[in-house]
Amino acid sequence: MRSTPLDLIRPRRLYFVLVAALLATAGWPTPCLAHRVTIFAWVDGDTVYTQSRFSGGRAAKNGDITVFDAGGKQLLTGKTDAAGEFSFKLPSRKGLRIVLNAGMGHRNEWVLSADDLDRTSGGGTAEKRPAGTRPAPPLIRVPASTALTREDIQSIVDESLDKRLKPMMKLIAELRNDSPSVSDILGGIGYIIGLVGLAAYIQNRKRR
Amino acid sequence: MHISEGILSGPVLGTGMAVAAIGTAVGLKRLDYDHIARAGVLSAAFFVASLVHVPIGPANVHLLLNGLVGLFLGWGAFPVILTALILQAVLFQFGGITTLGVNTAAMAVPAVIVRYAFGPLIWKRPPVAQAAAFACGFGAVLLGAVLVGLALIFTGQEFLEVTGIIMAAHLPVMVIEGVITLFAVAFLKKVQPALLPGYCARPVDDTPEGKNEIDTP
Repeated sequence: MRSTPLDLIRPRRLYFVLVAALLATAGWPTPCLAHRVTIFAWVDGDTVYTQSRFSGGRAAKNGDITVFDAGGKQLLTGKTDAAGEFSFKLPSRKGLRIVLNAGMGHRNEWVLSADDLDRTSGGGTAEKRPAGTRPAPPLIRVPASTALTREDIQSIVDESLDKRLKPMMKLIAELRNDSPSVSDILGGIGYIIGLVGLAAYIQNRKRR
Repeated sequence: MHISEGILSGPVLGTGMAVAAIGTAVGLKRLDYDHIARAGVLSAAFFVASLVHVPIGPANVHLLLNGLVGLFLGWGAFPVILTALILQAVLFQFGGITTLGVNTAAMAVPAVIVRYAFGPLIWKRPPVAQAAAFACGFGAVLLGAVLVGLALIFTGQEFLEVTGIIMAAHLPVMVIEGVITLFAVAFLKKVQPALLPGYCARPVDDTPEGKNEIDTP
């Protein structure tokens, strides 16, 4: 009797294969841990924050960060700290490409378009003022607030939004966990089973 | 050991693709009807192995199982690893589409080498056989690290330094894969020896399954 591909599907062996598969699945400590590096960047005021991680949540320590402008000119370089974070002063508002190289062939990038930078910095006309120079507090007490200009209101709102949104941005960075889901894994195995079927079919036709 | 997009230069990517294409062609040619199911099972194993993270050592590394795939399939390791890598690139975003060739070559070439270097030895007496099985798993990851180092050499990084870092990071994986291969071979010898390469060289035992013949590719 020759050994055939169907050997694996005979009842007794199928049982073994299933048990082995179940054990293997149960043995996965955390199926989300894997080998891929991601970088996420956001702007807060005039500082760009980046967070670099391997999928699964481990920080990418000591990774090389290179920042390019929209034209591809290198603006600055740096290294991520122990938490995988790196921040720098916004060098230009015309779009940035932040490239992370975590060594051993792991690389990823994050693009901040001119649009992103514009919006987060409060628009082109309303330049953000340093916190100390805002003349708002005495003016707020004036009942007819004719002195409170559009720009003032915008800068106040921007500042307070920045403060409120900072933890949110951090939270989004934390939640950006795009490691493989169970459906990805099962989908991949399904593809392989399908390919096996296809290959067996083709081979079988050839043999006739 | 998945090299991402945008790191390697054109010639390196091209060489990787050429090696992967030749290997896959040879592998598919030798992958006969009897080996298809095995190839599928091993491809699935390779596909999920990279999700098993090894939390030992300095870097973030995962199992490869290329030694095991090579031992069971020889040249068939090329199409099996290529398939799994395509699915990993598409579904998990590991590695990348342009680097498929390089990544396939970096993992499948060692698989074929260990198969022909250590495969015949697994039917020798126990100490030799065990050492050979261990070396299959261990050596395939080791050679893979060397090949990744070679691929990265043209990115301006020092070859010895890069390879050293990769090897240091993968040392726990090498040992684990050596042990996995050791146990897999020992288990299959008892349960289903026909799955192992070079089985027909053994005296046939008298169980019905024992008479299975296996054409080694």
